[in-house]
Amino acid sequence: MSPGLVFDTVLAFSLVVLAVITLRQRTPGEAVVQLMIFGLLLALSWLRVDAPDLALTEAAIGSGVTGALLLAALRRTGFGKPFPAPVSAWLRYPVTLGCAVLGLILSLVVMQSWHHPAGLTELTRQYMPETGTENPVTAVILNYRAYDTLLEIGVLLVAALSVYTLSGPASGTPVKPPGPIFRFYMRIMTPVFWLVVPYMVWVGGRAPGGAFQAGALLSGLGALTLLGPSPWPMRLRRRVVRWGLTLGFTLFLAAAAWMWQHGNFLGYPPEQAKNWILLIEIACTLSIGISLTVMFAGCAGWLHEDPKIAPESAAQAPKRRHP
Amino acid sequence: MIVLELLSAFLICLGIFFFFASAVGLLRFPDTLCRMHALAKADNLALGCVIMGAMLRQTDLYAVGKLLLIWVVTLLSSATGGFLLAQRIRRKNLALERDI
Repeated sequence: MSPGLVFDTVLAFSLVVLAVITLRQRTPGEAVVQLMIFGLLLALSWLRVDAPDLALTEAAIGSGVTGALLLAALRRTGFGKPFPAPVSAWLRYPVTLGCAVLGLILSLVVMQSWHHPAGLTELTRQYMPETGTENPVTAVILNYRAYDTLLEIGVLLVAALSVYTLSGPASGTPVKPPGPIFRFYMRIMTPVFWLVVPYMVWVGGRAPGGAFQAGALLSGLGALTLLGPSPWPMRLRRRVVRWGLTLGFTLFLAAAAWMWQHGNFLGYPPEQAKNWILLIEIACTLSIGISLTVMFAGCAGWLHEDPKIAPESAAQAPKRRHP
Repeated sequence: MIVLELLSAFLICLGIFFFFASAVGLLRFPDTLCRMHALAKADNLALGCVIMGAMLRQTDLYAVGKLLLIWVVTLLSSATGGFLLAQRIRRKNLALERDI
């Protein structure tokens, strides 16, 4: 057995064990933490099958953003309150059995596809020069299957709009200011984020990266900014937030309509494809970042008002700079 | 060349040892503050050793810089995260309880 195979076996085994552990937690808080660890190991296993794009997305969105959203939502219901009584065995065992059978069928399908390893790889490679990007994954996401991505951005917009419309004020305890070390951290890290996010968009043209990863990073900055008084004036006007939410989908749709007028629906003219893709990616990054931040704020109950600063320590907190 | 290889292997093994020690600490220490200390040690020392070992294996300076950046950002984040966690424990007076 090669070391790689041993590692993969241990990794696969721990994924299954972690999934069971996650399901068997007593409280939602513990379950969310286990889910985040599960997401990180899953990202590692994507890396093992040479899919760094998926690994990045899984680590950023599957583990980081999802975990943050769930934890923010738990602010309302309580981290440590145990789950209500488990569903009855009559429901649990058939569902478990069904999932096991489905998993078995899926793994059989995957094993079948080993006999036909090529798939669409050759076709993807053949037309790469016309796609306007050097990264095959970006080519699939934003050129070959741009239709799917357009709909995904639409789904994200609908989700963010639902949260924006439905979220009420925070219940729960008011937030205390997080102190000087957090402020120092934000002062250093905010410019780093502003450097890394555009880099992530740009590098998507030839290496793993792109709008979704960059958007997830941007939303990480947004969530950190919401957590405490930030030294950087980063609170956006409501109008900016609303425009930012819709920017990606609107621009994508407008580009699709323009291309429909001048040829095929979402068929980029090959010589301008790079510019189109870059433009759409920038708009989508902003929209994804703002959408996820809005969802985080909405889950935590901070969307339509500032986080309440506890009265006794309000005097020490630096004034938040409103634009 | 062989000296660099050996030094790199030694540093990575040292890092793995510290990771292992911090995992044991995380599982065995009695309360949250102690366990947090074990975890922060892993980020500082163990990751530092592994990254130094990996840096010795790089051929271009660009990759070395990226690795260094990863370490610095992790140091900053783990220190801040540890501070926030400790602050919450102190405010809620949870230090002696098993779970936060």
